[in-house]
Parts: sequence; structure tokens; C-alpha cells
Amino acid sequence: MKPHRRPTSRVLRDLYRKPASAFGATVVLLFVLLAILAPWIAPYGPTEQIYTDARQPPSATHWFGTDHLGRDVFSRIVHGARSILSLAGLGALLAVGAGTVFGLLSGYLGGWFDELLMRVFDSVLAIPALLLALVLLGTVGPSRASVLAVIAVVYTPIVARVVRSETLAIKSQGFVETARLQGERLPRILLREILPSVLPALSVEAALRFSYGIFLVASLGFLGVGVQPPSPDWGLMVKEARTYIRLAPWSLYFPVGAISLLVIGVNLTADGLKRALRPSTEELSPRARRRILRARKTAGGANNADGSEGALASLDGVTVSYYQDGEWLDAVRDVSLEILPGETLGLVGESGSGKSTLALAVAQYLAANGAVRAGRIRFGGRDLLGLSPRDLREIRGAQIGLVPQNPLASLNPSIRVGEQIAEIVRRHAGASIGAARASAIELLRRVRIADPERVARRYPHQLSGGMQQRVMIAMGLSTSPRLLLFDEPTTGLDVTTEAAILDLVFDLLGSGDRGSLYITHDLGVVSRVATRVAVLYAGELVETGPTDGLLRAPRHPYTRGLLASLPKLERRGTALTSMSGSIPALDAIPTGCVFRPRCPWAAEVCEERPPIEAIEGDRTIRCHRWTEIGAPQEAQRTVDTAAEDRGRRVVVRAEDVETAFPIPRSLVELLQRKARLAVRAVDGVTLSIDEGRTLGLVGESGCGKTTLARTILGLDALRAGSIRLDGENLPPTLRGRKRGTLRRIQAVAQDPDQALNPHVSVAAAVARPLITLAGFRRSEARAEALRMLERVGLSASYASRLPGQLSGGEKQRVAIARAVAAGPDLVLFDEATSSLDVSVQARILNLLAELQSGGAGAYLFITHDLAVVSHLSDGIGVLYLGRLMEIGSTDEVLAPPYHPYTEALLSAFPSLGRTEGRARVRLEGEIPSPIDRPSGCPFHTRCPRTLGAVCVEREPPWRLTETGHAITCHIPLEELRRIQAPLLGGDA
Amino acid sequence: MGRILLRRLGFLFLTLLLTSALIFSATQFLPGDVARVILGREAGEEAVAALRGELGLDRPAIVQYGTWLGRFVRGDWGKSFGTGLPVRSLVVERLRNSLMLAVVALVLAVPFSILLGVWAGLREHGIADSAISLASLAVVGLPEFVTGVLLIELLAHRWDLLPASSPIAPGTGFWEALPSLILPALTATLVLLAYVARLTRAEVAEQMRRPYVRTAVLKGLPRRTVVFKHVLRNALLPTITVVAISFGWLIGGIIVIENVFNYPGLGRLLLFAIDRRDVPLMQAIAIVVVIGVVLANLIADLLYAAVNPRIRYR
Repeated sequence: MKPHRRPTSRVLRDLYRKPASAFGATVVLLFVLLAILAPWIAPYGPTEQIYTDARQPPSATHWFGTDHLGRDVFSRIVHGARSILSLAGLGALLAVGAGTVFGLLSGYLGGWFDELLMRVFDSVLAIPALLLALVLLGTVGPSRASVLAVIAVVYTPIVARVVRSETLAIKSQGFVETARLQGERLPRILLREILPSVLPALSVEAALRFSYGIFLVASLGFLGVGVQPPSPDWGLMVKEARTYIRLAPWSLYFPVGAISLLVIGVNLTADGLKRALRPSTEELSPRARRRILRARKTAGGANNADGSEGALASLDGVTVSYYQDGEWLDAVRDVSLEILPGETLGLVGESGSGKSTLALAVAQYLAANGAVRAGRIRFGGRDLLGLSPRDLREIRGAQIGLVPQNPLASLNPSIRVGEQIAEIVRRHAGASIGAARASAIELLRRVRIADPERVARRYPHQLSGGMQQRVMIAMGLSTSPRLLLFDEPTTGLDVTTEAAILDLVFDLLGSGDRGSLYITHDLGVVSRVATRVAVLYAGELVETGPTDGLLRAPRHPYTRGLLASLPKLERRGTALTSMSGSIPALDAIPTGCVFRPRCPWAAEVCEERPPIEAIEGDRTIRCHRWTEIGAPQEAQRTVDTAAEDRGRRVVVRAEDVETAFPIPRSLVELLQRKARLAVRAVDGVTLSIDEGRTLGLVGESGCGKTTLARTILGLDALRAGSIRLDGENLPPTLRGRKRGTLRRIQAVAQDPDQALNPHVSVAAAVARPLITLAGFRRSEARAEALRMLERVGLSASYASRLPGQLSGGEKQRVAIARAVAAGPDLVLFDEATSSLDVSVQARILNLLAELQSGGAGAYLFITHDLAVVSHLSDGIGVLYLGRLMEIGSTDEVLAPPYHPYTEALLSAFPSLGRTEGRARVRLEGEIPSPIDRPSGCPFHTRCPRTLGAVCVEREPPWRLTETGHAITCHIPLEELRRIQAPLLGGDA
Repeated sequence: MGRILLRRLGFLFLTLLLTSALIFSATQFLPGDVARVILGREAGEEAVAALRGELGLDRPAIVQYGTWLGRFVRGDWGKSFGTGLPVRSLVVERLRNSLMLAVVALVLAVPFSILLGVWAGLREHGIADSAISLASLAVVGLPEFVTGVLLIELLAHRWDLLPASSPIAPGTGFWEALPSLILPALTATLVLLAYVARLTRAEVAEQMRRPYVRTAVLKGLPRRTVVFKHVLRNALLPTITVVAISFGWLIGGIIVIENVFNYPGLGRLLLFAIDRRDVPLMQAIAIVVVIGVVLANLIADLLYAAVNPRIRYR
């Protein structure tokens, strides 16, 4: 768990750990001391001339000798320290102060103010610092005051730029927007929400300005336009001493030495500070590196081929660990697996389970501080751990391929994709350039990319996410490897795109002797692709078996808990079973059975680590008590879904809402007077939400659901239509809304890591809206905040903790408590559970249902996850390219008639249970860009049921049933009912 | 690409306009009374008033700026207060000298520092990297006059390898001037080296950590290919920008270096102008330098856009 902020004491400690920065900091401190104590340390006055002692070498009376005018060099150095440090220090301080103010305002306010200010600053920055200083001093005249002013003027723009870019980055974080939604005023937002997070970068910049300030003052002194004689400026001393270098070299070298030492000191300190504040790569000490190397060597072993014959790859008792802060943390413990040819082994686990580590271990590409400390990884009869780098290179690509997450980052942005595939073929098959190029195109065709010749010439950023992943798969297949490793390849892809990729993977893997390892957290996906499943929890294998058998009848308590936590499309209304506790951190692994702290069936025998047992059905399990565990428990509570529509008022009604973002025109287009184009993110949406009800909004990327939420919240202004809150029109922007209105609409966003101000305690965060929106006094607010935290399941011990000490699920709960604290009428959830683990998500969903039945208001729940939305919502709206395609109660939307897009979404959604009988509806092509909207029905470019010309030319009408279920399609409802088969039903 | 070019040129002109306004205001209006500065403290009131009228100092600021800008653009840069000579010929002559110095420094510094940076970046956290990092961190902060003075002591006085000062005569050709150029250029090179090497190293180290490097390694490609074909292509992109930025740095450094080595370039001319409060000369030098810096940035921007596929193909 990474802490967000690093307390000052820790930073200072880190600064002193490295010898370089420790040296630097000490030097600087020394000079500062000298400067402060100058009048008492210096034996002589700085301008005191003793003619008789002129040009004396260093001696007892004059430690550093004297210069040509008989002045004591040591005293002048010491006083000079005072001069230069005070000038540079004060100047830097002024620049930092002014720069911060400008940067904060500019970055936060944006608009013309920002533009103007940045243009002016950029112009100042175009003038090299020394030149600007000279020009200014040349006209104003050199003096201490003018030097100070010059430093401030010259360095303010740079500081402003740095602060501005930090501000921009922080401004987009969830907690800043929440502050705006709570009606906080500008000064408070800048000072309490943004500034604390800017401080790390600012302090590094301040150190740098100090360093450059010293540089500048010394240079100006040397040139004679800075501090004037007879003042003891070091630069000036160098200048004067040059003429006398033959006669009194010490009068030159001491100032030179002083400048060098101080500058180096400050630079080292600034560098150390930068590193301490941003620990990106953990630098490994040579000792750590030796330890890691040794650990890697001990594991690798004999190259004998024992082990089950026929296995393509096998892991025997593999333990993979990371070396951190002087100790080994085991991410994967004693895992034994086998992958047979023709089989796809699905490896399932939540975050922290070690599944990615395992894949990297097999690929032999662990991080610098990772090592396989025990066990063997066998492939093709050889132990991968003992291979020489040369042998490893032969196997890589040719026999083992990896398809990772995040295809864009895994592709070289500067090489065309065709070439990135071709180079593998050239390397391993020795093909010529032409033959390799042809192979690449053929491979692209094989992964179902249309027009492969053109795509091969493209760069990765020109392709969509789905196409990028297909390219990665093509690369993986290029040498027909025997083993393919998939590491969550569909994370981040839209459901419909994901479905197509999964189809592809399934077809490719189904044929031949190839074996593969498919890693995912999504049980629905694994049921689609894998023949066997292995479940990983906190680094240990807990259960394996054939996919169908295991998922239908899980035996291990964790697997059961996991399956019970999943919201299922088919089973709504029942509360999800959630597992207590959370996944243990790597440094806090429980003794005995790793699942014991969370297991409802834990007994004394579980204090001993259970061995892996082979059981019937070709399965294995690691549990002492699996035979004693009965049938899966049914959920205790049933959420009240009985429709009580009588007396429910409409809380929010949106009518024909349109929100658009203008595309900035280039200078040329401005001159050509071209019309302003806009991206219509929300293109005429009408919906309403009833009191105490939940409306779910689903859609894929570009559908406008987030923009719609932001429009309702007032963060983006609508340009047409209206939104009414309890019958009254809502002002389009936050600024127009009164406190009372703000109180009634609140939100919870997706990323729990960005949702809370890292410098504010949990209780304070929840209390704030009570003070600003509900008018509570501070003491009352705190008491109420504690009550709210209790309601979301966080005990009083959490009150004074900082967000950095909480897990993702806990942070999200705080965000929820904060949102409902002031009693809003409507809470918007924008993908609020999408980045949480399944087990954590279950708890949050139960919490939300509970809060709502306890009177927490209406919800607008936005997500791409159909199962979640159907579990929680009373009604569902389906969005595509900014328009509603279908809206109705959950039951209605999930049953025919479907809008063709809804049909495709449901069909694409990877869920458990038998899907063979289910109709497979797949969409061709990509989601069109919102800038280039299709005419008529926006869905016609991909619709499998398109009627042809009418769908292209005319917008489809709304068709309603008696119950209010509405679909916008040219196909009449009865026709749809006839041709569409129910997509749900069958075993859950 | 054409669009990018147009945009950049637009910004270039805007920047030049704003910068020239800034410089003009700073030099014309700050001291309060240019006429008095020229004539000195003893001059009588009528003489000062007459000169002010003659110089057009009683007209509104915008008009003064406009007139000055108009003249400047047409090539009339005024007469130097101190010498009475036309500013333009003075500046152009010295500009030539300074450019020679800058070119030598860049030619020495850039290739070497890139090599050094790449080498260090590939061995991140190794001994070589730490040594280079530390050394460059130390050197990068030393003011040029410190390094210059030390170099003179070492190479000129102690070992008598090169001339201790470089007062070349006006009109000296490049090759004749070269021996006098080496020491000052070396001084500039050292600072540039540290700066560019550090940034290159950081960029290379950063790229090595990217996922696409993992992909390349897992393809079974030899390390040579991974580094030269995959990594450098991306790591060296920002180098273009870095070199452009360092050009601006170089200017500042050159002013000091010319002073240390007695080299007759723009820097020394500027100091001469400041000494005599020679306003037209100061203005002209400042503008010329800024044009140079802005142009260098423009070329770097365009080069970067041309070479980076993410910008060229949107």
C-alpha cells in the first residue's frame, strides 16, 4: 500500500541516506551557518584594507591570505557567503511566491487569463536568463536591490510554468471536482485542495531556483554588473583577482573554490530532494543486487526431463519473491501447475493474487528486484531457470509468446506495426525482408483485421484499442509458438470489442497442439476461453479443475465466495454474499491456511497449512475441510424489488439534453471563417429518475454517459434542453447553483485513489460537506461524520487516518459516506465499482442497496458492466454515441424486444453458465468517432439488423410499450419480439 | 505538417512581438530619462528637453514602440550612443564571431554528450552511470567563468597548450580564428555536455523501462537490436528539444565566456553597451539574440514534429 504523501521526516531521512545528497545538504548547511555567523566568525571586516599585508599567502593571521588591497580573503569569503546566499535565497523566495500564485490561478482558471499569462511568460522565457538580467540591470543600474528584483523577475515565469502544470494535473483529480461540487470557494480550493499536492514539485523547483540564483548572482558579479565593489561578492572577487593571479593566486582560488563547492552542494541536494520526493525506481544497492542474483541462481536446476510426460510446460513448487527494503516478499508461493498441449489453462485471481507475477516468471522477465527463489519451470524438457541468455533468446518468441495488457504501451510508438511483426519472422524463421513482410500481412488477416496491407503501414497510435490487441496477438502467433501466455489482454477494451477478441482467441487456441495460459480476474471471461481453471489467492493455488465443473460446483471456500460475490444478470434482487476481510498484503501473509482469516468455515485444523489434494473430477484443492462444507449458502436478505410506484415523485428530469465540446480551430481555419465544429457528446437525451430509485446507464466508450453525468452535476454546461430538479430548472453550471441546490446532487467517481484529498483525514473529508452544504457547526459535523462512517462499515478508528493508509474499497466507502452525508436527493455513481475487486465490489453494492432502502435518495448508476447495473438498478438506459437507444425497467430491458445494440451488448457480455445455446450477436467495425457522426440512426454502421437505406437516412422513431419501455428503432416492436431470442435464462 | 508549420510560425511572430515590446519597454522606460542618461548629470534642462524632442521621447509609449519596430524591421537599427556608429554594422560583425564560437561549442558538445548520455542510461544504476551522473551534476552548476578561469590556468598557463585569451581581429576567417576559439568553446562544451548528457541519460533510462522494451526482448531479439532499433528511436526524440533549449543556455554562457577570454563577440559588445547605457545597442543585441533563440526552438519543434510519428500522423 503506497502512501500518497511522504512525511517531511521521511524525506529528510532519505536525503541523508544517499552519500551524494547527504554531502550536498551538509555543505549547504555549513555555508548557511557561515553566512549567519559571519560577523562573529570573520576576524576582519570585509572591506578592511591593511596595505602592509597586501598579497600575503595563507598564514596564521590570514587563513586564506590577503588580496591585492590587503583585505583578508577569509573574512571576505565568509561575508560574501552572507551576501550571495541572502540575495539568491530571497530572490528565489520571491520568484517562488509570485510564481506559485500565478501558476495556481493560471492552471486552475484556464481560459483567456491562462492563455494571456502564458504568452507573456513564454516571451520572457524566450530571453535567456543572463541576457534578461543584463538588459534590466543595464538600464536600472546595478545595486543589491536591483539584483534582487532581477532574480525575482527572471525566475518567476519558470516557477509559474511548473506550478501551472502540476495544478493542471491535480485539478482533474476526483477530490478537486468534489470540492467544487460542495460549493467550496476558489481560495480554499487553491490552498487546501491543490497547493498541498503541488508542494513536492514546488520544493524541488525552489531548490533549483536557489541554485540558479547563486549562479546568476556570481556571474553578474563577475561581469561587474551585479553587486558593486567594495562589497565582498564572490564573483566580483574572482574578477578582481584575475589581474593578480601571478602575485596572489589564493585570492582567486578561494572564491572559485567557494562558488564551486556551494553550487555543487546545492545541486546535489536538489537532485537528492527530487529523488526522495518521487521514488520511481527503487535503486538497488549493490548488496541487494548480489542477493537477488544469488537467489536466482539457486532456483535454476537440473536440465532433466522428469515430470509428467506430455505436459507442455509445468511449474513445480515455484516461489517467486520480490526483494524490498531488505527483505523478501513472496508474491507466489509453492505453486505447481501443468499446461497440456491443446489445453488453455485459465489462471484466475484478484489483485494481489500474484497472477501477473507468475506470467512474468514463466516469460523470465521479472522486475529487477524479482527472483524465482524455489521450484522449477519446465518447458520442452528443460528448466527455464537454468538456461543461458542465448538459449533463452532462442526460445523467446519462437516457442513462448506473451500477449500482455495494455497493447498501446507494449508496441513501439515509432515503428510501423507491420514491421514490428515482420522482425520476429525474420529473426526466428530467417525469412527475407519481402517474405517477412508478406507473412506479417497474412498474420494480420488471420487475426481478422480488415485491409491488412494498409494497417501494416500504420503506427500503433493510429489504431483502436481492439486493433492494437489484435496486432499483439498476431505477434504472439507469428512463429507458431507452442506456448502462449495471455496476461489480461482484454482489460480496458469495450465489451463488444472484448467479445470479438475472445472469439478470436477461442478459435485460434481451439486448434492444434498449442497450449496456453490465460490470466484474468474475470470469471466470465475464463469460462469462455479456458478448458481448465486454476484459482490463485494471495500467491497460493487454492483450487484447480475443468472449467465447467469447477465453476458450477466450486469446492474451496474462496472460490465459492468469489462466485457468490458476482452479480449475475440472471439473478437479481438477492443481496450478494460478500466475504469479510480483505486480501492480505505481501508482508502480512497469515500462517497456516492463507484464507483462514476470511473463511467462514475456519477451524483449528486450519492453523496448519493444508496440502494440495487431488480429488475426483480431475480436480485439486487446498483445504482441510472441503468435504465438510455443505451446499452453498443462499443469501440472507432479499433486496426489496417490489415496485411501489405509487407516490414516488420524479426527482430529476432531463429533456433533450445536448452537451457539446467545441473543437478549437487552427489559425488558418479561423481566417477561412470555417464554422465551428463541436463534438456532440450528449445528443438529445431524455430520462427521468424517481425518488429512491436507481436508474442505470450503460454504454461503451464514447457513448456520452460520463458527459451526461457531468452535465447533470453542472461540471459541463449543456447547450440545449433542460434538466429539472423537482420541477425546477437547474442552472447549467455550478456557478449558477446555490448551496441548497448543490446539496441535493452529489457524486462518487471511479478512481478511489483520486477521490480523496491525500492530505485530509477521513473524518474531515466526510465532515466537510456537512459544514458547507448542510450548515452544520464543526463539532456537530464531526459527530455526524463518524456516524456516517459507521453506516458505511468503517469503525471510529478510521476517523483520523489519511487516504494513503486505506485500501481501494475503503476509500470508495469514504467517498460514498461523503456523498450521502448531507442527504442529497440524487447521487451519481460514475463507474464507482469498476476499479474494485469482485469481492470488494460485492460489499459496496450491498452497501449501496442498504443505504438506498434506508432513504439515501435516488441513484444514477453509470457503468459498462451489465451484471452490476442489472443487479442494482430498477431501470436501465442504454446509450450509444450520445443518444439513448433503449430505456425501461430492468426486467423489460433484459428481455426481448431488445434494441439491436442492447442485444449485441447482452450477447457480448462474458457471463458464466452455458452460452452455447445463446445466440451470438457480434458487431462489425469500430465505434464511430463522435466528431463524424453517422447520419440517421447512429448505430446503423454496425447494426446486424440494419434495414438499409431507411436507417441511413432517417432517424428512428421511439416505440413504446404500455409499461413505458421505449426503444428507438425502425424495426417495429412486434417484429423484434419475433426475431429475437431471449439472451438470458438457462443456468446461472 | 503544413498546419503545424503555420501554427508555429504564428507563435513565433507573436513571441517576437511580445518579447521585443518587453525589451523595448525595459530599456526605454525603466531608467526614466534616456536623454539625461546620454547627456549626463551636468547637462542643462533645455539641452535635455531638446534631445528628448529629437529622440521622440515625449511621444506616447505605443507610438515610440511602433516607430522603433518599423525602423528595426527595415534594417535601421539606429546609432550607438557611445560610438556614434550605426548599430547594425557593429552587431552583425560581432554576431558573426559569436556564431563561430557557438557552432564550435555545439559541434563539440552535442555528439559527445549524446553518446555519453546513452551509454549511462543503458547502464542505469551501474557504476559508470553513477559516476557520470555525479560528475555532470557537479559540473552543470559551475558558472562558466569558474570553468573558464580554471581551464585557462590549466591549459594555457600551466601547460601552455592554447592561448590564454582570444582577442581576434575583426574580419578574421574561421580557420584562422580556430586556435583562439578552442579554449572558450571547450568551456562552453563542458557545461553543455553535463546538461545534455544528463537529460539524454534520463530519457534513455526512462525508455528502457517501458513495456514495449519488454515486448521486444520477449520476441527474442538480440540486445543490440532492442537498443538501437527500438529504444534509441524513442529516446533520442526529446534530444532534439534538449539541444534547442541548450542553445538558449549557450547564449547566456557565451556572454560570460567572451568576457573571460576577451573574445570580441556579442556578449562583450553587450557589456560595453551596458557600461555606457547605450540603449539602441542594447536593444539591438537583445533582439538579435532572442530571434536566434526563438528560431532555434522553432527548428527543433518542426524537426521533432517531423520525426515523431505520433505528431506527424494524427
